[in-house]
Amino acid sequence: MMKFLFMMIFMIPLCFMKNMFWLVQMMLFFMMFLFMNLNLNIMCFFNMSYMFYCDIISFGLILLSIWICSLMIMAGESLFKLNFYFNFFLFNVIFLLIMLYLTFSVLNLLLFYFFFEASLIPTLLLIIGWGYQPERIQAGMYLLFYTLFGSLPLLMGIIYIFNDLNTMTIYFLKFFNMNMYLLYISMIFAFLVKMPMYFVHLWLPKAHVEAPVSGSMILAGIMLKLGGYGLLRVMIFLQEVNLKLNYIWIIISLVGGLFISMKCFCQVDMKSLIAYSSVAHMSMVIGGIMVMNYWGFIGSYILMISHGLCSSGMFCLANINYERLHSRSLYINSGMMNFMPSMSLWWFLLLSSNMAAPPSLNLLGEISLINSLVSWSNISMILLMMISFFSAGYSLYLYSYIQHGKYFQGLYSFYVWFISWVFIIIFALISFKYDNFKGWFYFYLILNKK
Amino acid sequence: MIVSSLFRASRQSTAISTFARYNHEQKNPMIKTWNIMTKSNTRFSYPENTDIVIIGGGIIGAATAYWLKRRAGDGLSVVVIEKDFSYKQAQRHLQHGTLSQHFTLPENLFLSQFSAFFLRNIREHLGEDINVEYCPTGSLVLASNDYAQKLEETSSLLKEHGSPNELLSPKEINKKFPWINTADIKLGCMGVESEGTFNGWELHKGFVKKSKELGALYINAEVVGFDLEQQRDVLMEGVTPGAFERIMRVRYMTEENEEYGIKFAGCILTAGSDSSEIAKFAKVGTGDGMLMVPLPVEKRKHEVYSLEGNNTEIGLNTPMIMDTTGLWLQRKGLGKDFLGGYLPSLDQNDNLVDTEQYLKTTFLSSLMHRIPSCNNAQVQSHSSLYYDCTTYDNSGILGPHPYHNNLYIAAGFGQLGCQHAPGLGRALTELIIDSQFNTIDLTRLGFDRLLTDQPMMECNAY
Repeated sequence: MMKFLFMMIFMIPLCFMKNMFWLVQMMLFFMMFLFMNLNLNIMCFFNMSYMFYCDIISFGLILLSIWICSLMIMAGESLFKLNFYFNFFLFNVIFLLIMLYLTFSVLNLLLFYFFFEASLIPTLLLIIGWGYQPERIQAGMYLLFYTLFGSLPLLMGIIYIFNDLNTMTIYFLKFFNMNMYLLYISMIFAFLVKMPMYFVHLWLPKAHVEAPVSGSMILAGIMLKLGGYGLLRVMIFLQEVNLKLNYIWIIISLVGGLFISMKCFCQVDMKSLIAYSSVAHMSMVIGGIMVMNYWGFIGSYILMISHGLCSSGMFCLANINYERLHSRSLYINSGMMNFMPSMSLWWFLLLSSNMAAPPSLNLLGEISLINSLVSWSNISMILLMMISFFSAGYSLYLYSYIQHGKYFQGLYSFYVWFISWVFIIIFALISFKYDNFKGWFYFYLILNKK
Repeated sequence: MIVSSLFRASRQSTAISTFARYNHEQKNPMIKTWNIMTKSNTRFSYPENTDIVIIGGGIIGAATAYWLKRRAGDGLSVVVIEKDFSYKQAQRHLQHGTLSQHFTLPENLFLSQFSAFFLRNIREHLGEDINVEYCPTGSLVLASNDYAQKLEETSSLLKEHGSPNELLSPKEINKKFPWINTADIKLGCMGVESEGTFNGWELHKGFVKKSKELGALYINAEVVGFDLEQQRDVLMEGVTPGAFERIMRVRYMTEENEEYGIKFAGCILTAGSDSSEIAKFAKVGTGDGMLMVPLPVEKRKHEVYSLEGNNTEIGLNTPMIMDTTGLWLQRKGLGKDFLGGYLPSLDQNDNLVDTEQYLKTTFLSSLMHRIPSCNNAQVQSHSSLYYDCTTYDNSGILGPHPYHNNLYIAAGFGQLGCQHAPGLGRALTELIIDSQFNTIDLTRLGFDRLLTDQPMMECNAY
């Protein structure tokens, strides 16, 4: 595990050398390949050394973060071409990757918190430094302060745990049971804000829309999953209180997911629609974790991975449209099938994955989640039915609005701006499908173990 | 290998050098972030990206901003760049706006009908506290012997399209308005609905206020250029392959002498008489092929005279009078005073315009011929108005430019700009959002008629 950390640290000087843009990106792909071939052990923590470890959840999320970071660099090619401080951009991305890698792989809860917060700084730099609109300043503020406000109680909780248990190792937490309401709320609030849950979700549409494409990809792809990962880890020793209080969070997130799905239909900005759909998916993830059954955990994990890939791909596509038409508005982006018919394929594949159509990995996650939530309470069937239905609705709405219809008259023809876009999308989808097979395989394995 | 060579090719694009020119983009993103986070920056920050840019905040520009925002709400971000927020040049001529429905081109007629509808329901559109003083007075068009036939045809055309009017013989005119000299008139046409006067300045203010309320951003700046970017793989008929240049950005200079650029999806040029200079920044008129044809909009001066102290007995129902000589008269206020002037003709010689005495005498002579009881009236110059006149055929140009598809031009309407503004704004909105005209079809007024040489002349004086 240290080997990857050192590899990333030594990529930093590489960012500042001349003509190294594509080399850095290729190195990240290379690292991804190396990481993928670690010996994977499903039921245990493996590769433990000093303060690092790897677990099936960490493994998947680190893989996802390396993948999305390399796609981010590909997406930032326009910065390279237009010579807009791409060295700092690369440095930012590598720094963010280091923080994320460390978040997912340290054994110490306090260090986890430290890197959890530290990953905010490069994100903020990305939004304010490379973003487009004047509203990005407010978006950055919202992102920063929502997350910081939520995570201060988390720090208090971690220090309390250390005082009580005299250990911070995540592995040992499963032996304890903290039966305290205040500790429970302070620990999970940070992750609920990060996920985000319905009432504390306001930062997400702002931050996702105002960020440049790379920022949006990393936000949707990984930053939301930090919350999910934290919840998965922290729930181990809070189970007793959770049994009493989980219905609050489940109800808020499921009903909130329903409202947000309906709000998706009102959006006129492409990125805004994709951002709100992220909230709707994450609401199901929260539900799945909170019910604390096995299928819930597995379903939320799978949905996190698949949503990370799918959402990042959609933000890429939205940016492809933006770079050519200079507008994110649905009024102007319509009838794209006349101009970019091959892009229709990618829009369709990603949007159909977004609505959890087979054979995407989202389907697997949603099926598991639906099963687990319905086993917890039959009434949640209604809410889940509505959320799934509306998610299909707005995905189709976005697709048909962008692709079909009359095209904007002010658009004569397209020009190939940067060709690497095609690669990004292809990679996003291929990994998706590869994960798909892996996912179904593991699902089968896990079921058998049960 | 192939990939890298492709990248090398696109790296030679010439637009890269222009990117670094703006002072707000030169800063290192880290430094930018630090500055923003540490200083409380309450200074207004100029937008760098928007969906629609409207160049020129005159009445057509403000009307377009209003209709775009009304139709799309937050879905389209609209920025209006106007160099003079006090509208000194436009103010006076807007003040006596006239609404006439007597047109030979059906497009103008439909636009007028829509304007009448809009003005009647203006409280619903623009808010409760607006008062455009819309006063329908009717209008009377007089035709001499030669053109009486044409007047009849126009009248039946108008009736067909829903604008009621009456044809009056000279005797009837004399009965209704005994103070008009009908000696050389064969026929008169009186419009009986919707035609009148209104306060165009209030309408303009109303548009600006309402569009600001709905979210349009008005910037006080002057447009100094466009950024063009070469796109080598776009093929257009009539353009050498590889030479197509697309407008990427509008560059504008604020009052503090800072230059900014704004990227857009669609740009609407409604700058009135300055439109042709601004179009030149986009190489309209200075390029080759389709860009050879310049935008033929020029500033023309137009004198309005006021007559005071005459003892003509005129009633409240005095219509606007269009004379056979191109003279127009309208009642000023509720008294006996008149406002009048000449219709500007296309091939107006500037030398003649400057000699005010000459115009006054011609004006006075035709006036006294038409209204004999005016002989002791004092003619004073009320105001000189500057209109944007399309020198090609005196009708406005509306529509996208054939080369620069994202540049929509709406200029050169002249006197009709004020009265047709609501309809023109709505037409531009339909072009942008629906890519076609939904309500009034104005395709014949597009820029293409300059290329295919099909003038759309409006017959104004019979």
